[in-house]
Amino acid sequence: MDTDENMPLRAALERTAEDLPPLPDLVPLAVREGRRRRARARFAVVTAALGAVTAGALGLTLLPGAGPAPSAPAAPPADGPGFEERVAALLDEVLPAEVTDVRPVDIAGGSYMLDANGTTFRMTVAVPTADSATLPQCENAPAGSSLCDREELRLGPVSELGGRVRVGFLYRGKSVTITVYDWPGEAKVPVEAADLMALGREPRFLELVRERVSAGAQRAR
Amino acid sequence: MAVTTEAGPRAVPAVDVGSEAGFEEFARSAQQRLYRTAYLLCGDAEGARDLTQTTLAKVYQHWRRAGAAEHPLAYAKTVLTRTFLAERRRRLRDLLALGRAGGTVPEPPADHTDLRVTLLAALAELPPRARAMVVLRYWDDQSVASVAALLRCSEATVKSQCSRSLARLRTRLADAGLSMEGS
Repeated sequence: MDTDENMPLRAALERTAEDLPPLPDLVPLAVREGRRRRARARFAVVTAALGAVTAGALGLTLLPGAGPAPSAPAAPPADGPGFEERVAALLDEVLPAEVTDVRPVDIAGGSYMLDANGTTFRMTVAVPTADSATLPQCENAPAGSSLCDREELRLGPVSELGGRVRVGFLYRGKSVTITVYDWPGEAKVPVEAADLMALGREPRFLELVRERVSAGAQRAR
Repeated sequence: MAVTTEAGPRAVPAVDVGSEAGFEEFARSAQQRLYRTAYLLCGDAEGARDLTQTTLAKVYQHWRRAGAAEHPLAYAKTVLTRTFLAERRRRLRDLLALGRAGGTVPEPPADHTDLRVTLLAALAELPPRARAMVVLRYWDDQSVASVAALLRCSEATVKSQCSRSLARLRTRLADAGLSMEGS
């Protein structure tokens, strides 16, 4: 492709690019960002699917003479990512950049492994179901109670003690708890309470909590 | 890794197409090249690093497809160029919204006797698409047809734009007392 006329330009561009400062290895950061992009795309697909089903159900309800509308599914389609995978993807996106991977390790128990600075940490995200106990102070709370019956995550107990960071939230009278441990006790936990509190302000996390609670409610019927 | 075929064992690249390990191997081998292309497009190392990282992240996102492509590096360069152009369009929109369009081209330093600095400044004066054409065509050795396909324009547009851009670069370097030929 190079003609004699263009060779000097190519050589000049070559010399210009040669003076670049060295590039650190971008692969870990690119993998992390790529995972987040994938997760966002999956979220969008699942949300669109749920929206379409819900809209369909609403349409049936509004039709004259239509029978009872089927309840909208609280869980994503069976071939989509599971609850824990979506929680892990969201954590991967929201937690600080030092965290390079979050993956579920115990599908039933809400446990995750979290990689940061070359060390693996343990994390739990305890999200209630309809069967989970209601806090004592909420057992007899009136409907619409600001403490016990609100569609929001209210900040609860926060602790950063002994290599463990824990932040609790209250959702409709039930406890949601996120904990990161310094297990196996070799390095400082890579997140602060403020990072976990930020998760509570993330609408997608609230949506996941709502999904889990309503899925439990459907099973209980 | 080796596979056995009817013709006997033959070595194949250790890249497991579509796997994370395959992506990492590709990314490590390609990142430096992408970084240099990004540098010529952006004109600064920090921007080039961000552009390279975003490009690799996008390639990771679609690695099953990208890894199976005949030339994954060409795929990555397409992503890089389009990401660069999209970012510049976004930046221009923001500047227009703020009523500050036209302030994007950095002024060359007063003492611009260095070819590298002057060439980067001259490239920065070109519109983003014209800059991409020059970099792809003359640094990346891509054909007119390939550049036209990548930038979704006609080959005639690539030829005329490159010709005008080269003339501008030569003038700019001559004004600075430099010559691509002699330096």
